[in-house]
Parts: sequence; structure tokens; C-alpha cells
Amino acid sequence: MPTWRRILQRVLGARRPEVNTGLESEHPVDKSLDANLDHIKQLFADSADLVCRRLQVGHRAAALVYLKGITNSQLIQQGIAQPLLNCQRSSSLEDILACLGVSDYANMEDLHQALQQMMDGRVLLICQGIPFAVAIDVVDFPKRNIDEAESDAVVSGPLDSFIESIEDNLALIRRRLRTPHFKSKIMRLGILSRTPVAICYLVDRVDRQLLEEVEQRLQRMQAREDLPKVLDSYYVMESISDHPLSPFPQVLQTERPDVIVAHLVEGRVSILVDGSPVALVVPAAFFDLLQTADDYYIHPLFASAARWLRLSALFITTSVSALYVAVTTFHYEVIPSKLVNTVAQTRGEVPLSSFSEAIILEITVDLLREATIRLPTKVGQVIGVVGALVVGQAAVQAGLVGPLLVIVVAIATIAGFAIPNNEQATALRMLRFPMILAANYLSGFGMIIVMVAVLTHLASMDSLGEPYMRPVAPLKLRQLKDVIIRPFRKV
Amino acid sequence: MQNRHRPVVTGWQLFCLIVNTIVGTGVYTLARDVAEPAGAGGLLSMLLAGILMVVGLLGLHLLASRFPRQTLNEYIGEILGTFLGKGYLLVYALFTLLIGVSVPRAHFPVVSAWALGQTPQLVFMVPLVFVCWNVARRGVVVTARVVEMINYLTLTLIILLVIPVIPIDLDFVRPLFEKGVAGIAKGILPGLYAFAGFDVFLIVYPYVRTRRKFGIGVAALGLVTFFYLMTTLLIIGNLGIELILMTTWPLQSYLNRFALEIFERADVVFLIAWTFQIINTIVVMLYIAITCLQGAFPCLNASIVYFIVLILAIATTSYQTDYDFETRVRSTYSLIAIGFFWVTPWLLWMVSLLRGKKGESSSEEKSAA
Amino acid sequence: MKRRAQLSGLLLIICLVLTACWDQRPLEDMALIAGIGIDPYPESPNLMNFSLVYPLYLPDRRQGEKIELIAADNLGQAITVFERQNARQFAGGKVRVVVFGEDAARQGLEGLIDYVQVPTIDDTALVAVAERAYDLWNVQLPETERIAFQIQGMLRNAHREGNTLRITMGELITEASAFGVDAVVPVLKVLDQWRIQVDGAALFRDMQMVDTVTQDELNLLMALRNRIGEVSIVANVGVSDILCKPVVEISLIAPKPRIKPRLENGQLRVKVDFSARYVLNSYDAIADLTEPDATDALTRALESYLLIEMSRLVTKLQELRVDPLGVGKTLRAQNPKQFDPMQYREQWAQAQVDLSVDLHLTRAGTLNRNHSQRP
Repeated sequence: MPTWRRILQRVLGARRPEVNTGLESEHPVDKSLDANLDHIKQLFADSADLVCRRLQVGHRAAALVYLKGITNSQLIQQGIAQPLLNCQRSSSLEDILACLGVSDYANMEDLHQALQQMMDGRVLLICQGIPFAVAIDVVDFPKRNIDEAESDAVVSGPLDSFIESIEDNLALIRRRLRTPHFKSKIMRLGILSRTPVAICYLVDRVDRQLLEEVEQRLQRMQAREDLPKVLDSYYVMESISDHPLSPFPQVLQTERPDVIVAHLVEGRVSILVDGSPVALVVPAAFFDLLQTADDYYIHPLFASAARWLRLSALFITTSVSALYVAVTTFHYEVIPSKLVNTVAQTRGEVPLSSFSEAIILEITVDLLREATIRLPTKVGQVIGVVGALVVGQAAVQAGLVGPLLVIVVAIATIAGFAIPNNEQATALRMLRFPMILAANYLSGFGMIIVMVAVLTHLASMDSLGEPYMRPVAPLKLRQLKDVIIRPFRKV
Repeated sequence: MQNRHRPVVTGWQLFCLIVNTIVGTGVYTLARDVAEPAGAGGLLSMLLAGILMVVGLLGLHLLASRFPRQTLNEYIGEILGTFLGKGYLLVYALFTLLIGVSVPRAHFPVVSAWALGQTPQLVFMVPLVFVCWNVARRGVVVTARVVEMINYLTLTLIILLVIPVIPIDLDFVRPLFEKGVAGIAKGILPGLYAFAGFDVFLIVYPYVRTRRKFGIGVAALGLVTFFYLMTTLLIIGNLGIELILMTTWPLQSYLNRFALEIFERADVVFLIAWTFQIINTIVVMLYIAITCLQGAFPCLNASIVYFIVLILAIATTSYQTDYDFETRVRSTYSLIAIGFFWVTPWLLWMVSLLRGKKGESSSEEKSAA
Repeated sequence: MKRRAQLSGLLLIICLVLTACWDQRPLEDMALIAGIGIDPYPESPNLMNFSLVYPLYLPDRRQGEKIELIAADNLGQAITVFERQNARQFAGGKVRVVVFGEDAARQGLEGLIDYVQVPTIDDTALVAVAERAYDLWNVQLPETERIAFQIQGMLRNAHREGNTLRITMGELITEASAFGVDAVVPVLKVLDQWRIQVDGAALFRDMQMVDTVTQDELNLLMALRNRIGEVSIVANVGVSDILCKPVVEISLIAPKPRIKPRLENGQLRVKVDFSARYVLNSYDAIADLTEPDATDALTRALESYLLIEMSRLVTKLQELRVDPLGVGKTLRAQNPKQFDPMQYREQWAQAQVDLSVDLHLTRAGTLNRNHSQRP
């Protein structure tokens, strides 16, 4: 590791604690029921949700151990407890299990392993004199209903979106892919959280190398001792990105099962994380992030126009305010004759230089945006924009900023909202500040130098082996079609 | 995934690399440079220079196609022997660096006259060269990608430049043979100077995965020649020979004559946007210089070579001299350099023929054949 | 790696520290010059009087104008003086019109070649000549109008309607410097305190104004210069059995002069075949102009009028030794070896010019009699 990277790690890197789950060591199930229950109670001391229910199965003492809240208590009562109480034959484990009304169970020799299962929402059945624990599946995690997507909202098209439960999410995908080629492999990530993570792909379409690479990277993540928790798919995203330091997202995030299916059909790999309504798609290149689900549910002409707008938004959101600074401080010649006197007059009334004016207004707009983003509904966004305009109006009347700049910044902000991916939009918005700075020092030349530096960064990135700027650099004409227009399905 | 094992340059990237390396600052003064000796016949000089360049390209192609899987660094030793080979690479690197450095140096006076009159050369050059070097040091793949991306913009500029937006007077262009055949022949030399950088073909040749490399090279040279011809035609047709000879940067004077709707001064807008093209040229030149220096001093650590090139480039671009003196010196050494790039590949090819040296042809190309 | 990172970081920092925004020209600190007038300085023959017009910003977004009169050798010096006298910096990038006083133009514009090399100055500025350029700026206009813009719009409109030619700074420099063609610049006349009018044009020989032509002559000249889509001509064809008033107003549409110069033993022979379509704008006819015989007769009368007037104009140009038609340029294009810029003016003065005029009526502007007699 080079020095600068080590320094960077020390300054910016997260603290990495040593963790253990308390269940690492092996602990075989004892023949004595009491010994087992004592051990469990010792481990789970002060756990209010632990239930240990002793019952008599035939002539054998037994106990059901489970966690309240994540199990279906009705099912436990009717499907497990009642049949066990009524059970006559209890000479062997097979006899006991034959009484049960549920079929999804597993026998465990190791108590700690069984307890891990319990924490996934299973009931443990431990019997006196039998060195096995039986884990019975009665999972019932609390979850919300399938709802409309908040971030990937569409005007038309399917409305259902992922929720926090991975089983339901897989079901949403399966519903759209009725083929045995659809595969989903489950891995557990995070020492403490042991979050289930599913790798989904279509076996006949996926690039084998890509799949291996994804699996390797997840396994590497699994092997990491210092990763206690995976609370959201973003944890996974950071860990599998080729360039985690880059502000540009290299993984596509979506809440929509239809988007996932579309990408799976194109041969990509999708990653679902339990507890997160956001699924990931890899590899994702720069221009993939500019597409929305909407594009495929409206007329290709409108969708293509929208794509062009988004492409122009890329330029507008990064450079318009810098252009304003460059033009008003260096190149008054390029302003149209009809406009130049008005601009000069309004600029003359402002006490600040164009540069300070632009920076202050940009920061104000960003503040407004940040403040309103956590307002309850999407109304917040609208209020944000309106608020910016109102503030702008007042600032103009007070003679703090020029009216043209308010228009320019408003256009740049609106263009920023036109970029569908939030991460990408934020990264591009951040670019405004170095651009404005460069424009203030070296006018357009400075802006170009910053642009080339950013392009270099983008060009040197790969997203899981695919060039980040494909299909533009390197040019792939066939894929480029899907960037600049939305192809017609039937011609 | 294949990118990790061996860098790959596509055919289109090769095209972009050649076009963008050749077209640089020459375009500002080209019309005057060829019109001085040849009058309106400068157009014919331009055309002849383009044809001569195709011959030069053929030399590069013949040499490189004998060693299709090896870079110049690898096979030069086989042809000339280790010691001479390293000497050749060193000379090559220095010439390329010299031409690469002269590009921003020629650009700066225009920038200085139009926009940044008081900004010291150093302040303009350091970020510019640094950004270019930052691309070049990342190797052929990133260089090709960046050049390709910038190319979309500069290609648009090139196309916009060859469209006659304001009426031209063809009577200014018609006296082609006013200065006679001798004048046209004299005009070829400054015409050739405008083609500096075509040897990037030789350097990236082994990375290109297509069989039509020579065709792509010729197409790129054709586009550049067409571009030069059209701009020269438009400038002469608009300004007239006499005014061109009095103007320092005829292209800028020509562009000053039309106003766009939003950006009213085409010359200022062009000057700024053309910086992209300047960057492209410097990037490729620095890349070639780095590559050849690495070949000349294989014992040196890669980062030390990068560093040497950066310091050399910044020092030489920031050093200030008299503009006219510099222009004279530049045209001299550029011509020597172009002669070097033009002649030595043919010589090397002959030597390799005589000594019977030949690289292995790639399995892909065999199967494709 | 370590050293490189440190050094490159250091360089960037040095660079940022060094960069002290030398070249900032904030828009609000600029005096955006909209018009430049150039007159001789009355008290000293070597100095020029430069009148610079730039907008003033008054409260409540009202706009005024300021005229600054500066005596200097050349424009560069005038700029220096201007900046010494004003709080705002001279900004020439938005110049809309440049007006030469007649006396200044007769002294020559040599210094202006340098002017066009100043990159910030706009080459698209329109050029005109006036008796005294300074008087032009003092014409009273409504409050919302600005004089430089007013003149620019006036010249443009007059050009669009075929009443004057439009010549920019860049074109003037090209025509003044190129061999075998001379510049023609429209003349602006101050009628009274409130009005300006485009009236005729000034003829230049290289950099120097030599004479003026009247508006009628200018119209003919424009038709012969082949730069214009439509020219209006007021022709006096005399009273005949077709017309009851001698004056006919016509518009020549797409006039095509074919100029064929030939050099024979040092003698220049120029053949000019002029052809155009025309539209009748205003006339008083006795005869029925829907009849072909009548229109043919009218066309012939117009042709002979144009022939006489054009010959007179060409003779005048030859006597003045100016060639705004670009005959020399065409000669050079055809025969670059024979063309000698040194001797050309003399050759042109001695040249034998054969003119022919060919007109076609496209629209008489009258209805067919049969058509009008319908119930």
C-alpha cells in the first residue's frame, strides 16, 4: 500500500472493530435437556424475547426454544406444540418428528449452529436424551407491505417495489422470470448480522467470468473478520466496487423488480440484500445510470427525447454556473449584444464578484435541497425548488445577487434533478465547485482542464471488467443505440 | 475482462488517435504558412503534403506489420541491436517531446492575445501539462479512451469549421498557379509540418485488434487533409491572400467574422473549445515520449520515467522566449522531426528485410486471414 | 510513488497560489463601446478625434449613453487615454458601428490594419462614412433607443430593402488590402436634429476614400457588384406612348453581372453582360401592361436607360481609378501570371468596357384585363 493511501485510510477510513458473535466455538447438543437449556439461558441472559417452553412428548421431556416476534406463534401453537403434546410414541426422534404438522425442519448436532438457525426465525426442539436439536421453520419477520417505489417512481408501468424481506423480493423477481434458468445463490455477510445476500442471474445469459468475479468479491467480503454488520445493500456496493474512492457509482441501485429483470435478461448479475429494499446490478457503466424504467413504458420517441435531455443535463448541471462566471469575468464579448448591457447593469448593482456570487448562491441552493430532502413527501422537493426561487427573488431585490445568476443556478439545479441516479447526480453537482473555481482563475481554459481531469478519472475506471464509459469509450455502436435513443421494439 | 491482460485499442480509437494527434495548433497559422510561398496554390501544397504523408504512413505500416505482436520498444533492439536501438528510442522520445511541447507553446500566444494577456505562461502551462501527463501515464488504454471521448467534441468542431457559414469569394482562391510550381513545392514544407504526430500509428499498432489498420490510417490522414484543405480554402476565400499575409492567426480573424446566436464571438468560443484538441495532442505526444523513454532506459522504474517526462514537459513549456524567434526555430526542428519520423521507418523496414528479422504474427490474424 | 505524489501535490498548490486572477475583466467594470467615430482633430493635422459611445447605467434600470471625445494618434492611444480618464475599462468586443468622418477617410485608414489585429474587437461591426462622425452621435433619439444600435439597425434594414450595401469591418479590411478590388462604404447623412439617412456611398482606393457616389449611382453599383439579392432602381425612361410619367420604380431581382476581363498587349478589355429579372414597383402607364408588346417596349426602354447610366458610372469609376466591381480580382483569378498589381490601376483607367444589359419582367403588378372584366 503506498504511503498516500495509508494516510488516506487513516484519515478517511472507517474504524474497524474486532467482533465476535459468541457462537463461533462448537458446542454439541448435550443428551441432558437441562444442560442444554441452562447453556442457552446463560447465552441469552437478559433477552426478553427468548421463549423456552417445556413440554411432555409421550414419555420424554422436551423443550421448544424460540424468539418471540420473528416467529409465527399461531403456527407454533397449532403446528408444533399441539401435535407434540398429543404425540404417543416418543422412543426415537423419527417418531417425534412424525407427529409434527410441519415439514420444513433440520436436525442439528451443534447447539450453536442450531441457535444461529433460531435467530433466523426458527423454533428449536430439544428432547431429553437425544443429542440433536431440530430447527423448524416458522419464520414470521415483521415486514411492511409491498408498496410503490419511492425513489424510482414512474409515470406508467408496474408500481410494485422491493421491500426489506429477501424472500418476498425473490418472489417478485420470480414472478417475472418463469424459467429454470433463473438462479439465486444465498450467502451470509456480516459476522453479527449474518445478513442473507442473494446473487441472482440467468444461467444461460450471464457472463461466467463476471459471475465468478462477483462471487469472489462477495466471498472476500464474507471472509473479512472486521465486518460486523451489513444493514443495507450500500455496504455490499461499497465493498464490491472497483473504485470505492470514486464518487461516481459503479453499481446500479434500484427498488424495482422490473428493472432487475431487464438487467438479468441482458446478462448482468443482480445482488439482493436482506433488510434492504434496494437491489444492486453489476456491472453498471456511467451511461446505464442515465436510463430509467420509464423509458421502456412510453413511446420510443418521447423516451429518446428524454434521454437527450438527460445527456444535456449532464453538461448543464456541471458547467452552466461556471460558464456564467467565465463569461462575466473574462469574455464579455461572447454575450449577445442585446443582452450584454442588461447583464452589465445588473452586475453593476451587485457588490460581490461573479465568483463569490455564484459560490454563495450554489451553496444556498444546496442547503435548501439538503434541508427539504427529508421532508415527508415528494412535495419537499418542490418546496425546495420553489424556496430557492423565492430566496433568489429576495436576494435579487436586495441587490445581493444578479437575476441572471439566479436563473443560471436554477437551471443547473433543475438539470441536476433530471439525472435519475441520486449518487451520480450528487457527484456531478459536486463538480460545479471546482469548475467555478477553475473558471474564476483560467476562464474556459480552466474549465476544460477540470473536465479533462474528470474524463480521465472516468476513462480509467472499470466496473467489474467493463469499461466505465462504454459504449462511448470504447465505442460500441450497437450498445450506443440504447444510450442515445430508446430503440423501437418492433420495426 | 480481457482488458486486464493485454491492452486493446479499437479501430475507431486508432482513427481518433491519429486525427487528434495531427490536428493541433497548426490550424491557427496553417493558411498563412502555406500562402506565404505558394499563394492560393497553398491548397495544392496541402494536398501534396497529405499524399506524401500517406507514403510515410505506408513506411510505418510496413515496419510495424513485420512485428505485429511486438511494440517498437521490443523489436527495435532486434533490428538495430541493443545499443543503437536504445539510442533510436531516445532520439524518438526527445523529438516527440519537442513537438509535444511546441503545441501548447504555440497555443499560448493565441490564448494570451485573445483572453489571458497577463497570466504568466507558467500558470497556464502547469495545470494543462499536468492534466495531460495524468492521462498519458495511465497507459495506452486510458489514453485511447480519453482521446476518443474528447474526439466527439473536437470532431464536431472540425466539421463545423469546414462548413462555409459566411459567403466566400472564389476569385481569391482561383489563382492557384500564381507563384508557379516552385511556389507550390515550397508550400509543401509548412504543409508537412502540420502533419506532425502521424507516427502515433507506429506506437499503438501492436495494440490494435483489427486487420484494416492501414486503411484506418489512410482514412484519418484523408480526413485531416480534407479539414486542412477546407479551412485553408475558406480562410483564403474570405480574407484574401494579401490580408492573410498580414495576419498573425488567420483562422481567428476568419472566425471573428461571424456571430453565433448565443455565443456571439465564434473566435473566442473556438479558441477555448480548441483547448480540448490541444490537450489531446499533448496527451498522445507525452504518451509516446513516456513509452519510448521506458524502452530506452528499461532499468529505470516506471514512476521515475513518468516523473522525468513531467518535469521536462513543464520546464520546457513554461520557459519564455521571443515569439518570432521561437516560430522560426520550431518550424526548423519540426521539419527535421517529421523527416525523421518519415524516413527512419522506411530505413528500419529495409534493415529488417536485409537482416531477415520478423516477429510472429498473431494467431488471431492468421485465423482471420 | 511517494515522492511523485508529494511533488505533484506541491506543484498544484504552487500553481493555485500563483494564480492571482490577472486577467479578470469583470463585465461591470467595462465600458462596452457600441460605436466608434473617427474625425480629424481640428487644431492639429496629425491627431484624430475618436468619439466613443458607451452605455451608462442609470437608476431604475434606465439606460443612458455617454459620448467620450478623445484626441489621439491612433485607436490604441485613444484606448489608453480613455482608460486614464474613465473609471471603466475600454471594451471593444461589442462595437456595432464604426463611422469615419469624411475628412478622416480621405486621409486614409492605414492605422486600421492594426486595429483589426486587436483580438477583442469585433470584426462584424458595420462601417459607414459621415460628413462628421461626431455629429451622428448627437442625433436625438427616443429614450429607449441607443444611437449605435439605431444606426446598425438602419444600415441592416436599408441593406435588406436593397437601398445600401452592408460592409463590416472585416470586409472593409479585406477589400482594402486585396489586389484588384476596392471598398465601397455607405454614407450616412444627418438631416436635422432628429434624423439620419443613408445616402449614397464613399468610394475607396486601397485605404483612402476618393469620392462619393449618389444614391442612384450606388444602386447601380450594387447591381453590378453581384452581392445583393434585390436592388431598387428609379429609372427615368422618358415620356412615350406607354407611360404618361417618365419615372418608373423597379426592383432588380437577383442581378447577375458577368464580368469578363481580357488583357491584350497591355490593353485591358472588359466585357460586362448584365442580366436581371425585374419587378415594377410604381409607374403610370397609358398602355395596357398585360400585353406583351407593351411590356417588351418598356423593358427595352429600361435596358437602354440602365446601359447609359451604368456606362456613365463605369466611366466615373475608371476616371477615379477605383475598381469596386472587382474586375482586377477576376482578371487575376483567370490569369494570375498576367496580373500586375502595380500597373493594374492604370490599365483599368484605360480599359475598354463593353456593357450589355438584359432584363426580364417577372411581375407587372397589374391584373389581366380579361380577369378584371369578369362580372
